[in-house]
Amino acid sequence: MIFAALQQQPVPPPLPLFEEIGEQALPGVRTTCGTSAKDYILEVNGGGVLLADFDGDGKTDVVIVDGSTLARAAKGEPGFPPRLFLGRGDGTFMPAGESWAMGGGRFGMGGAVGDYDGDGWLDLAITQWGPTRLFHNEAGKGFREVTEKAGLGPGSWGSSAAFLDYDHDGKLDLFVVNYLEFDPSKVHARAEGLCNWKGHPVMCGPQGMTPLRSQLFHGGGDGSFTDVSAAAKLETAAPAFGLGVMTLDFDGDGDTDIYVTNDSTPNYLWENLGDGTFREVGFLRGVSHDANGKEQASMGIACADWNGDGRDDLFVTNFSGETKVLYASGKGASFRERSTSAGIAGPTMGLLGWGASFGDYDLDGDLDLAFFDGHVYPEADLPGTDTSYAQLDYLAENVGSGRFALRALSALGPAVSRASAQADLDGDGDLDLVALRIDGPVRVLRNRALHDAAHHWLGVRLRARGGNRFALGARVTLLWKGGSASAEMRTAGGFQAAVPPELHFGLGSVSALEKVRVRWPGGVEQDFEAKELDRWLVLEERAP
Amino acid sequence: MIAALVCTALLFCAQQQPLELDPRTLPSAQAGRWKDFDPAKLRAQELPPSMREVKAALEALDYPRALAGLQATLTGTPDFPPAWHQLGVLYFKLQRYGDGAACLERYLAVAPQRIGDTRVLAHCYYSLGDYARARAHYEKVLAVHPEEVEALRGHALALMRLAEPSEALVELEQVLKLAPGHQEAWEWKAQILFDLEELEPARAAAEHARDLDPFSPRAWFLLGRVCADLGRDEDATAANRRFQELNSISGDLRQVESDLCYKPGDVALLKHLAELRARTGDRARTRSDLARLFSAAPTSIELRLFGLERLAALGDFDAARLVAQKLEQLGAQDANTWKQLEAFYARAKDRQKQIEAGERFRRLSGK
Repeated sequence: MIFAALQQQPVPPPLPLFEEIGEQALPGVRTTCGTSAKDYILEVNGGGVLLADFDGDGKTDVVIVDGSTLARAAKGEPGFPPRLFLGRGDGTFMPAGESWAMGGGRFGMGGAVGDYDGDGWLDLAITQWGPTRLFHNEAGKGFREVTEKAGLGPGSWGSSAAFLDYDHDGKLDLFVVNYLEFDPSKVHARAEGLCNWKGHPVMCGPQGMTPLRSQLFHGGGDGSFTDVSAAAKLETAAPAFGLGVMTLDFDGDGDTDIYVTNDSTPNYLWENLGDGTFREVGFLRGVSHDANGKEQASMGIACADWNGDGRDDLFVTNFSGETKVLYASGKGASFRERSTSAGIAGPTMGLLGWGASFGDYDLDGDLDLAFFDGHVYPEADLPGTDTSYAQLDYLAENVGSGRFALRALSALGPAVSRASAQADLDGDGDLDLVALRIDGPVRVLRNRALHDAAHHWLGVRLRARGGNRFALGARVTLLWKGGSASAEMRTAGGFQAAVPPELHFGLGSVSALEKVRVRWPGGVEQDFEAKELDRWLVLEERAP
Repeated sequence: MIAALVCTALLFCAQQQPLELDPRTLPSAQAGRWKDFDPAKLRAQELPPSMREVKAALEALDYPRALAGLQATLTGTPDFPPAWHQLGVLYFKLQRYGDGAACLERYLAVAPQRIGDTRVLAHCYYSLGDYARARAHYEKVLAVHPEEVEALRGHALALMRLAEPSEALVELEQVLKLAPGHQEAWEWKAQILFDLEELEPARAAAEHARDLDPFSPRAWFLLGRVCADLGRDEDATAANRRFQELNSISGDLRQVESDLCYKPGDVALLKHLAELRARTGDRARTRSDLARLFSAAPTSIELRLFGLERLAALGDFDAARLVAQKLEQLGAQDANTWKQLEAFYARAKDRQKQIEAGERFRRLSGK
């Protein structure tokens, strides 16, 4: 049952852009997150999607973070392990060998990708109901769990995480977003009928449960981490039901700030003060609530310079009955909610959103949005909810003048989607997508964008000097006659997701660049020539 | 015959929970049955008996019972227009906007001449995010009642959502001309001006909204946002602080109010509501919530004592004295009641009553 508003406003068919190839790309790969009844809040977030080239063959690989069941947890059995699938370079994947196998944790959620020891290989952090786990990449030959040495505990329920170098010491740090304290023996089950939504009994939470603070771990560069949350002043904000994370330099001062989406509590924007501390400025910068001053149940985050002012904008997915929110960077370092004028507010009212990303999917030179939806309550299919459990996923096509036109993302139809991440999986120069369906198969959406004189692109990978080898926090600006585009290097993927450390620019009919300017972490600027488009560049930081 | 139909209807409703019934499945009347319907000409004896039950349930804010009664009415007297209308409004209050729209669309289908009654249908479209349809329907309602304030307000919001802020402002000005104290309209005016980067006028509107209702979190939120953009960080921080205080409570208030829609007589919820309200410092709304609590448990001494304490803490001694009077009757033989009353009258500086209460306490407790 599609909710009433969409019955009245038919959704335009998908562009011939994304082809669902999950069955060929990752045959038989599914995830589990509790039981289908969803009796407890632990069972609704789904797993994670982490994209990166782990084996160094130039092709994007994927780690699927899997969950567990409460029955397994009660018996002390490990959760289903995270699994690496190596990319073949054509959008399909194959299971990685035994050396890449990761043990089952407790109940996996998401994670982060980053080269924490500066050896040139991308490592993994895995969040879960339990302490965060760490896996070292053994020079592209396999993963080795190093959680015990890492010092990432204690942890109760980590949802999303991101690597960053907040203090420019060349050693990656880790930010872990925590959700809530969950003890099945103390939480009421759905069947007890104590928690209601639109008159229907549903699983309980997060209201009435204990929210948690995020954690910042300072990286020692050798696989050890120190919890510096208190020293960084993260305890100056109230604990919240954290779900998503994004790293961005919102104020353009050269250091990395952190945006956190919270469920049913205000979202936080942690301004990096440059002295090892942070200040929560979500309200002052206009990204804590919707325009009505109402905190939302926020999940996914997309981040990119959508309005072309050189500063990144934010797009946040929320609960049904709330609109998805577009926070556009404005004057100063503030944001303004532009969901209504962008044409996003009304059509997304009935959707409950998760993974989201900005990308120039049709390579026409402007940034579109992709977002994945699906309700948390199976009861959403009961009468009177104005929504449904399975929902459409959307491509919001940038149609210029600050507006988007919403279309179905693919021909799949309604699904109960969760985390998503994007990368050029098949090496053809456009952005493909990987997404999870809760308790279902993994989706791979291959982009079939046109590649011709009106649809150019450029990809950029950076190699910095020092330990932050993949240059997280760097800003890359493409300059051409009469125009420019810029993007920040990151691996944070919003909700329980990570993306490769690489930047993709759709250029449309721009056929030549004047230069590529890189502001490396630490602030040094360096210009490069880019004589040819439609390729991936690897830019190296010059010696001082 | 009608009695038989009502019995059938009640049986029908007994078999299916009112919240699980899809109103679209209710039976239809013969075409044209209600084409000349005019509520002004409806005589009391023509009302289906179940509508009296509905009226009582609505007065008691017992929405599930009202829902069952309306469904019964529409089963026994298909397409009875007042029942469709009331059912649509009720679903809207329950935030079941699709169902609300379906009922009011049905109301218009059977009584198309009544379009002027259906601004809530436009509210439903708006709440579903269908702003174009909401706008069109508000315009139809306003064609009949051009000065209906809530339709004008809704029309303004729909225009705002359709990215026509200047037109929305004009419409809000019309609302404020008709109802200068319309606090929400001032808030929306502030927000639209803020979006248009007209910061000083936005600040003035937000301040006016705040003055009209100092307990509205949104007014403080808007004021804080405007001040932040004006670079008045201290004012912004102060406004944000007040916003956070009120908002931390208002989220819980919304949850309790929502729960009460489905459990209207739940004393624990009603007490929690009054408790939260008292924490905002809003005397008028606290009185109202306490009245609702006392009505649900009219003989409870414990709850009256709770109310007495909260009102006294708010400094609302006029309302507290009324509660104290009732306690003197309810707890006439209860020593603890008189002990509490003695303390209350001391706090209210009513020496005579304090002495009387103290004597009653000592007599009843044997001290």
